[in-house]
Amino acid sequence: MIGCVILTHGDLCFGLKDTLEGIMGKQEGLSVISNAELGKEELISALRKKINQKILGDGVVIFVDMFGTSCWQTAKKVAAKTPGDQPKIAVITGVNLPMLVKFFSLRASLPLSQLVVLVKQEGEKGIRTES
Amino acid sequence: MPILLFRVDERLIHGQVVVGWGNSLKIDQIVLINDQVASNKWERDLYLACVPPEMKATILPVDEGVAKILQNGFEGKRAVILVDSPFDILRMVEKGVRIDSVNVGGVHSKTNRKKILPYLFLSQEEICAFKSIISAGIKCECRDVPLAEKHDLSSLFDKLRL
Repeated sequence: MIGCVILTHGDLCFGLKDTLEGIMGKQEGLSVISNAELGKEELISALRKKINQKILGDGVVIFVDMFGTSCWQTAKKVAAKTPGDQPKIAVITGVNLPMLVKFFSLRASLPLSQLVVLVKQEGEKGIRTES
Repeated sequence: MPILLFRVDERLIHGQVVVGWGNSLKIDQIVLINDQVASNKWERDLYLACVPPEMKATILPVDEGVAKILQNGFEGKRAVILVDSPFDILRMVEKGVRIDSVNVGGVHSKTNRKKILPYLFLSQEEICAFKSIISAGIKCECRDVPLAEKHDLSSLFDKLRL
């Protein structure tokens, strides 16, 4: 199974986890981390630690709230500097609830590369305007 | 004035700078001055990816950044100069850059750093470097985003007896 870390600004990650688990029940291998107050290197090691604790063997997806931010940079650094013999890490930005629901619905049945594509699509589909 | 802000921010180019200060000061040029980032293509590309299309960004080592500032290289721009530590501000000042005030944004927690504000944690060496900057007549104003409350760093040091 594939693990999940939600990395965001402020308290968003805690709210996403609580809300998701309110919908889907408690999830194995789900961690959250906020960038509040943490220095650059501290954030990188905190993220590595969460990943190592929650590794489920088939890879990890790091969900980040916003592209181009310190959270995204941290995720990219950790993903890029993970040795090839470790389970793969993917990064998805713009995390929203539809994405997370899709992720936890499908993660047991798909490989990381396919899962990431479907999760991104679901996140995009969740954004609509009604007039 | 071509350079609108000198900022110390360990996260360099990120949301608070691009969205917060970028919108408020109508920044069109980000100048990231840092020896280590400038020497590493992977890191340069990482930071450049964070720049929105309406802004330009350049990443320079300290010596080149100083030379460009001294040649008025940002005339006609609305530029922000970003460094990640007070040490690089001191190097710039020693090399002749005139700075009236420094915006102190995020320097976050790390072993041996003391908490000054929720976004400002400083080691003894960093406190000394900021004190040298203040002694050189440069105002150090802590403010992570434009709408946040301003704190004068010198008064904070006095208050905390640092």
